[in-house]
Amino acid sequence: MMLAMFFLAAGVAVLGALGVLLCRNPIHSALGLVATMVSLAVVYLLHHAEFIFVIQLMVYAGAVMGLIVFVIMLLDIRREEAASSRFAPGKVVGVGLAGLFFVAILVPFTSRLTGRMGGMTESALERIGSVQYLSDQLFGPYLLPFEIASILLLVGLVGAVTLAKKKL
Amino acid sequence: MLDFVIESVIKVVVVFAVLMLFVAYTTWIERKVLGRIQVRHGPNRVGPFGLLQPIADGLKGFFKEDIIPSNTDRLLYALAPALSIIPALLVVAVIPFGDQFTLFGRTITMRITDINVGLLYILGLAGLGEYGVMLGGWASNNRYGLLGSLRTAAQMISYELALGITLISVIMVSGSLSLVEIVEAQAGLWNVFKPILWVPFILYIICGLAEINRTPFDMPEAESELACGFNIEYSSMKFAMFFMAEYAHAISLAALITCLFLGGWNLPFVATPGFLKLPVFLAKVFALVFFFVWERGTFPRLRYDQIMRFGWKVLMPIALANIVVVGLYYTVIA
Amino acid sequence: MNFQMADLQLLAPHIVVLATALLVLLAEAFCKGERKGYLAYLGIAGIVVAALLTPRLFGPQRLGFSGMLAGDGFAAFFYFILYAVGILTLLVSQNYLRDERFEHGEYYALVLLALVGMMLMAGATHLMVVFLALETMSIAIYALAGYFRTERSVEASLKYFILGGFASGFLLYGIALIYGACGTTQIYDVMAYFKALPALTSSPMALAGIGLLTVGFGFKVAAVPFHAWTPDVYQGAPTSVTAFMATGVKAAAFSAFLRVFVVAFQGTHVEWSGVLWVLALLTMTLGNLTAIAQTDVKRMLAYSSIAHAGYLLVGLVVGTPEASSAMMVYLLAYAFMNIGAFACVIMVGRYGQENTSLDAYAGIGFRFPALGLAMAVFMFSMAGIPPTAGFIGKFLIFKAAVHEGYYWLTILGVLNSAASVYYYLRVIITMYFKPSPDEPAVDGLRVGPSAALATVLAGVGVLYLGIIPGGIIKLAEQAVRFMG
Repeated sequence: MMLAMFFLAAGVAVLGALGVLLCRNPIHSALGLVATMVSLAVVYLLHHAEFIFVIQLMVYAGAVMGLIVFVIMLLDIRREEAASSRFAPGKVVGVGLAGLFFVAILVPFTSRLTGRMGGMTESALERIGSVQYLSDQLFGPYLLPFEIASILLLVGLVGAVTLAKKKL
Repeated sequence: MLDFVIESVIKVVVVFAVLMLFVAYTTWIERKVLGRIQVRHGPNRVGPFGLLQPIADGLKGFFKEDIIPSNTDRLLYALAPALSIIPALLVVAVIPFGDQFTLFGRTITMRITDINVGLLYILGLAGLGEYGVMLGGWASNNRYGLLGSLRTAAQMISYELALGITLISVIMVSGSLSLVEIVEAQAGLWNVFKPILWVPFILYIICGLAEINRTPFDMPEAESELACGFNIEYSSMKFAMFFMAEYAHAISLAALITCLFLGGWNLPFVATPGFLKLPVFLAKVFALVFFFVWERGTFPRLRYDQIMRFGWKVLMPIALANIVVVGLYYTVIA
Repeated sequence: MNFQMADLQLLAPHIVVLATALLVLLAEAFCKGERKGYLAYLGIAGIVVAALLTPRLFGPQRLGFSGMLAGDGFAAFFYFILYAVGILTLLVSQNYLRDERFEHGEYYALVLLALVGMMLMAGATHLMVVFLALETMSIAIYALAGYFRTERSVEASLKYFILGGFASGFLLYGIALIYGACGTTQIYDVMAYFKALPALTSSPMALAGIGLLTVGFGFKVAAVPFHAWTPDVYQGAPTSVTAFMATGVKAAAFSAFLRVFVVAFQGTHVEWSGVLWVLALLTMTLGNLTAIAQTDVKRMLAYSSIAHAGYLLVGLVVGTPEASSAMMVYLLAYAFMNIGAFACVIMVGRYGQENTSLDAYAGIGFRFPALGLAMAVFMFSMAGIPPTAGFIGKFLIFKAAVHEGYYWLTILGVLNSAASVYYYLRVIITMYFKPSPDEPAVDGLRVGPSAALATVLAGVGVLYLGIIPGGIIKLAEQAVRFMG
């Protein structure tokens, strides 16, 4: 049952990602991404990570993609200009390298996991999804990364204003 | 496992049916009450007091011709109404209507599910809800439609932020994201009567109205300037779906406000007997629905730039300050 | 395991710089007036305060925030390099921005925020912190690169942003694989895990993780073949930002590169040093050969910065404490000479006309003797000619390489260094021995007190490190010993 759900969600995620790549219409591409985001959220849910599931829905599928769709609609980009489909040696090399890289990142998964194991029992998985456990972790051992992330967001904000505001 | 599945399916079907019924009769309430406010009768031809009007409307929706204008984006045009109504229906999954009762020796809880992040789940769905409206206007390839969608998108994104921030103070006081626990924590004293929490209550109502695009924030479909906005090109059942989504949103907003601030199924100050819990909850929901109609009959529509300015420059700062004040009050003083 | 007050001590310098950045932002918002130059001095004051708090960290290693941030000599040494970079950049920028009519507080705030990110990278002992700090630094730099909003500036920003985002993806994926292989991303735990499980050195997952981390860091230090963005970005960005990028980002990226590879992955040194050997050679050679062909000084300096990354990579290949300390001295020297050189490039330009082509430099050596002298010192130092800082840096790195038996790499490195003399000296020759044209492109220098001060400071730094480097070298050696 869980496995079937996983494959359904994963399949939709992959299809959505392909849609992003193959659709000529930017809105369709964006919606493909939304589909991917939502199905990733489902995958998180299947892993008992309820909090991440909701945040994924809220932040990525909702807010971020909402803004992207909004901007595409605002600029009224109807159709991406067809890229030149002429043959170029650079393209062959590029595709070859990309293929090679794809194989290279798959190789690690042929090996057995060597990391420290254990600890991820059913009951531990229950805990991971709970907001309380997560916030204990976030404000306990992971306090520093949490705070750095807030600086990161501030930098992004200042940077965006600097680049985009009409008159500083 | 199997009986769990069966129980869930039955609950889903029942809740769905009841919700659809409520949606239908909310339109009736709206038309009746608005009529009274405007000193006219409202629907009164179909059935006694026009009570069969919603059903007649529903039938009409099914049998009308489904017009698809040329030059639309076929796929998205058909998808948009569904995208609009699905999140509205999914929200109901986590709303607790009542406590629990025993039937044939089984304890049955009066909710479809209780996940520990229920409140965030609702916010997440609110984020998805805007796609239907946005895409509907865009796909129908109509200037007014596109303008309506753009306005909706901007408005929803802006108010969603204030909405989420407002909720933080409620979460802080209740100490939980589960709607059931939030309701249970209000036995005896509703949240709205707790110190300071009337501020987020008012903020939440305002943001909620903007989020579901109701007057005075119904900019997306301003008839006078946009000729109905995003759903201008829609007809028959597709239009009806947008319409239903709108009222489903209104009902779920009322249910949420009831859970978060008005104590859910709890009577004020006294313990609630089990059989009264569902009626109490529904009474509150319909009181709020009545309020939504009432304010629609009272307030004029805001201008678009006023809406945006109000959202960012007034609501957002108040919502942020609210967190600080509530946090300080409940940790330091109380 | 949780937060303790003592941890704040390790974070004190970062907090001070961050607070200064916020103060600058507030001052920008609430202070009227067009002239915002004083904000640069506010920033410098903040950095100085942070610098006063730093020496306390110089000592045996203390880990804070559940082992995520180190207070040790290694971090402290890098903090000082970064302070030097920060102060010099702020000094150089002030006059430049005013002349380009682009004087805003956001610029100084972004420089300081980038500095916070860099410092966190130097102190990080957890891959998650490394990543977040790297992003903080990078995003600030993306914005700074596009700060002038001219077509080229925005192009630089966008190129850097897109490729940088890509590189971050590689880095993150590498971290994920390392987590899969080791079950931890704390640098010292990873080291211990590699020690406890020798079979890990042949695990494809661990090796792929190390490879992807190499790509991620290689991009940030501009190593060949991940360098393609460098010339366009360095040339298109405002010159002061280029100086900041070339020195600060490089120092920060190498600090994390060092700690991650030399400490965490020391068990797999055999495996990764081979790859880096090739990268180092490619980087040096390609950087130098392409630099020879350039006729634009700013672009030439961009390629030279690639070449310098190559020399630094030699130190990483060697991987001994001696090599690490050599790299630290080199990075300090590079900060002085590179910012100094860019300061001179700024002075030669004027509003709306950057004058970065080599022809513009004809004859300015005699017309502006002080500028000529400064530029000559920096060029000599870049070329690695004694008695300048550049020589000491290269000497130490190659010495460490020879000690470990990397003879071929050393020989090729020295040959490269010799080739680089050609294009550095060409600048000096153009300045002094080419007659200036009848209508010189440069009719005056844009120089203010702050830029002059920056150049003098950089020059003094270069000569000090070149003539009496003993103290600094000893400090660097001590610092490495504390790295653990």
